[in-house]
Amino acid sequence: MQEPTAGERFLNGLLPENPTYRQMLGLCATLAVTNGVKPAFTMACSTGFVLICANAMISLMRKHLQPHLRILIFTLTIATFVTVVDRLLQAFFYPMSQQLGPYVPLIIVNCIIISRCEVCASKQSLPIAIADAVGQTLGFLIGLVSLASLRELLGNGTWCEFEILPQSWPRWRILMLPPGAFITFGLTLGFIEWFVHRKQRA
Amino acid sequence: MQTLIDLLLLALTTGLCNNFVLHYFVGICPFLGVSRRIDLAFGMGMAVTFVMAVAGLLSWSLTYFVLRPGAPLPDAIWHLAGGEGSLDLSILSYLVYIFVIASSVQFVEMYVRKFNPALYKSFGVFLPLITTNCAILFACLEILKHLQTPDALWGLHEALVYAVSGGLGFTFAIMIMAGLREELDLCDVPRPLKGPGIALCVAGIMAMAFMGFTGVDQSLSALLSH
Amino acid sequence: MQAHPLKQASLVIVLATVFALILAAVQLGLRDRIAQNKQAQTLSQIPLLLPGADLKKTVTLKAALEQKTIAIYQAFDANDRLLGYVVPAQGAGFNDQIELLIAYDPSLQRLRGISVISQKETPGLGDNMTKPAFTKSFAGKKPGQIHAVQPGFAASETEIDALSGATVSSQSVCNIVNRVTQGLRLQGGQP
Repeated sequence: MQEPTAGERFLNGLLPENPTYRQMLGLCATLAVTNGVKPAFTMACSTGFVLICANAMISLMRKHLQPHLRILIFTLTIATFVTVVDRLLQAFFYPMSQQLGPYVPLIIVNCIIISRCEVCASKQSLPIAIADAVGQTLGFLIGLVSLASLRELLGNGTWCEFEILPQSWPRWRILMLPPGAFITFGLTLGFIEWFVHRKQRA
Repeated sequence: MQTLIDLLLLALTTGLCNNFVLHYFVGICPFLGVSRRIDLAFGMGMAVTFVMAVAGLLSWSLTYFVLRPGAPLPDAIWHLAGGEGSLDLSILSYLVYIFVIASSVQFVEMYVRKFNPALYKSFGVFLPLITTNCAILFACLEILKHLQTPDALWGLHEALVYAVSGGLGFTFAIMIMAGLREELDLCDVPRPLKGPGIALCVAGIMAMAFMGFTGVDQSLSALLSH
Repeated sequence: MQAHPLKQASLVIVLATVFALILAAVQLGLRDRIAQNKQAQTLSQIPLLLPGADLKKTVTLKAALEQKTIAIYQAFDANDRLLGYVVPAQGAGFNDQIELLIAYDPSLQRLRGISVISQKETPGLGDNMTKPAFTKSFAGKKPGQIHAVQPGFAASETEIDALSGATVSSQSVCNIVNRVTQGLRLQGGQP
């Protein structure tokens, strides 16, 4: 089997291997911060920053990795970059960092990052690792923002805090609450499954 | 007496009202992955509770004595070395927590394998999975949050109660989910929703049911203090 | 043959050093900014709670609240006239912790208003507590025994109109205000 090129890896991350809808990784963040488009966007960008930095770093030192110390090094790298992101958010986007709260440090245990380090960055050269990370980041961004748009628009009538729907539209408050996160994500997942299935049959 | 009531209320709030899985969304991966059979779910839940208690205790001690701003230990060393003022090591907290969790998982695994092989058989397989379980890191972070605000300073007992009740809440949720999914296997689910889709919808309805517990703690607190 | 353990761990040791340097740089570079942000979150509310307050003249005092020591703010206007006190407080809400700033008049006998800093109440119902219609309704009330009543029925100086559909959230805010008022003791002679 041929190894995918940098471009293919990038495109793979967007839809065919979308981290949210296809691989179902990093669900804590997906469900917790998607009650607004702004926090979802910030979360995806922070995760992306950590993912790209960690992937690049791991790729650079892939020749020196000892197999049994591998996971330790991944964790060390990820935790450091997450701390950096957390401090940057606190310094420049303070209200947003307060809103995201513990979900920023929880990026450390976001499975997307460690799985990309393991699957791709520890074996591939720097450009490929970065392309892969950027693709996965954009895929994660698409997943989070689409889910957040649905929830914010139907649940609060706004998008990015701008009024979109008229006041006469009944706000589906439940979508802004924790149960809404589960149900929206479950139904969206089902819809995508149905869509992919139909396309394959046609 | 008041302390006991406070601890009871804390446990109730953590376990039921603000359930880790259904309110804070942490630990979703095992919640969807391991919740196929009740006995497996129970094993996983117990393993998480156990590790959470150990990690909670360790992270409370480390945060209280070393990591929080104005902690006694680094200050003492700093003053011995001739420095002045106070040290703030809180930037290291995330790094420390993740290693505390990883090592407590190792520790629990070794201990259980040596002293209780039967127990090891029932939940040993889940232990390595737990290192990347966000629920445990989340518990450590909440403990950190409560050590940073001087107004709501947690003691060791509060941290322990928080960790254990959080773990029990997780077990509770994952076992209900497993029971529901055992039944769901026999149901005629629309094809695209099979697997994770329907599990998430069921979780949503469960979360709605758990929302019914909101406010219970306040009524109970009013009841108990009179 | 296995390499020497130190050699195996060399990468970890080098990385740890590099990361320690990165973190130290971040800490030194951003520390003041973060501290400022935290302060500003509270301070920026003071002129809104006590109109005319001059931030440069605000004095931070120590006060005792139920065996704990907290910082409270004493606000003056440009002519050094005492406008009142602002006290940070927190307590249990319907869902999660609520964090408030409570503004008192100089005698500490009347409220000037409150400001909700953080809350996670039900969207659309309880989270209306951040709106001025609710926070301003505390102005002029006598703290200590205030309670929430059915919306539109607040008549006396100890009654607050509850948010519609969120009686528990409204009462939680009242409880926090009452608890803090009863427990607060300024340090240094004053009541």
